[in-house]
Amino acid sequence: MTTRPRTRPTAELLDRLRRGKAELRARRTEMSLKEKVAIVLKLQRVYLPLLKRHRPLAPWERPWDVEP
Amino acid sequence: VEPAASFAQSLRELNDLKVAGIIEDYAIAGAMALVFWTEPIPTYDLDVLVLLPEQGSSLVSLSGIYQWAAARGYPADAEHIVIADVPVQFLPAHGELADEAVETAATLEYEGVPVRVVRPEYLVALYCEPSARTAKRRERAAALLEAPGTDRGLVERLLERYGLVP
Repeated sequence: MTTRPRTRPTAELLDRLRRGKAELRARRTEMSLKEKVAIVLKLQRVYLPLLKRHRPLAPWERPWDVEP
Repeated sequence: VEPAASFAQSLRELNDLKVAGIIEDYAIAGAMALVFWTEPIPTYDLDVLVLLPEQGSSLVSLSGIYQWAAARGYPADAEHIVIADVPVQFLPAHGELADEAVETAATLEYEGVPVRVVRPEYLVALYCEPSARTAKRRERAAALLEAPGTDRGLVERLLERYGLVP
């Protein structure tokens, strides 16, 4: 297989991207519990169609109708 | 339209189960426990480890919990009880590590409701049990090990004590 030369990211850029991701995760970890539960409720709605395409859903696998 | 229930209401009911003496104690485990200690992840049920009162038989029965749920109008759905629209799976502690995980759980507060949550070190150890070793659980254990409050020394001691060193 032939590969044409490509411009590659610098080590500094990769390092900055990784640091950015770690900072995002740290910020999400430090959120209040209520904020986290609100995100879980949003994720349930986003994730469900993806899960449904991947495998049959169990009857209880559905977004919760609750307030965070 | 009925107002949606709140997540706190489901947690309040767990405390009620304990006050009513139907369970000795409980602690949230599984993905929701991770949400308490790390970042939010998608999940559709609430796993609750429970210590049951002495039942005078070697066979564990969840019938007390099911009766309590029926009396309150909470339906059972497969292996879950739907408490205020949250499917809850009650898992009787399956061994000494699980017993200890419940006994040493942290009492946190969610919107004014006290809630018992398995500490991150015990979650990691539970994920390292042979019956629980899946790719998803390894990933969760790794996330917990990276969490700022996790005591890695305690994790190592637990793995050693329960013969779970990989």
